[in-house]
Amino acid sequence: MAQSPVRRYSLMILLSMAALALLSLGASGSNWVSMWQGFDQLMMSVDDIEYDADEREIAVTTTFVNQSDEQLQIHVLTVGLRLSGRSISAGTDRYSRQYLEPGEPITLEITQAVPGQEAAFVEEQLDAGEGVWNLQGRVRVSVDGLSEPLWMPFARDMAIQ
Amino acid sequence: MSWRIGEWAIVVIAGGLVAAAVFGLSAEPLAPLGLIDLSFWLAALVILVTGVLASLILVDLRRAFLTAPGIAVLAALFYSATLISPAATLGHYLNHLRNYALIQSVPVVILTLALIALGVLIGTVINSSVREYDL
Repeated sequence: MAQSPVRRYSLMILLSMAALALLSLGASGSNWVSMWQGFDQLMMSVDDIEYDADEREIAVTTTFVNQSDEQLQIHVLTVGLRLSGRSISAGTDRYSRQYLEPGEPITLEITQAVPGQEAAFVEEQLDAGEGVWNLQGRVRVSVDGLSEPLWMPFARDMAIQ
Repeated sequence: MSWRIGEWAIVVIAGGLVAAAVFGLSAEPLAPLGLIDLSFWLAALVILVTGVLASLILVDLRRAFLTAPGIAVLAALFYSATLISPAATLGHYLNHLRNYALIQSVPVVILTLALIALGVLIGTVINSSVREYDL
């Protein structure tokens, strides 16, 4: 056992610091878990993928619903679009103050230019009325101003109608 | 287990907890989620003081020095465990969180190792003057 007062008091101080540290880690960890549960309850759906043949542009409309109890903030939305396995376009939008209140849906539209060769392929597939859109992307989101924004990946499929 | 080893283990575990918590309070991403937002310099000072305390408790310089790698590894483990904890309920984020924790562990190990070693040296100087030992 620590006999001298210096050793005894040093051990007591270190053990007190460790107890406080345990409390602090517990609080940080519990907030960290609820933050990720907030991210997990951010639901995303693809509403529409519309091709404009004149402008050679594709507009992708997505809806995000925050089903957590926390206020979320979307910072960046990145979307890559494939049609029947072929890469068509990609785009990124940045938002300065795009907040998501709990339970409230928001709709975001992202427009992407389609290069010439891919445009011909899209028109061909749309005329035939077949093929499947595959949307892959990431949304950079933070919780209630508490956290650094983190990238959350998503992937959705949508058949051509 | 003899008291000498037990004492060393207590110092290492307590030091690891302190270093992990201090990193959690000062470094992203846990800093805004903690009880207080600690500046990096204050965090470094707390880890340094932990090294000094380890030296004052263990007295023997060699035993005190051996706490540095132990505390550094345990700090990284406790810090990583906190970062990975959401995967317990959200298993699909395990890879994402594990990579995140691995990246964050590197500075935790390096900085804790350096600061505890420095603290042990300072503690040895204090030990010598308090106990009138020769260095």
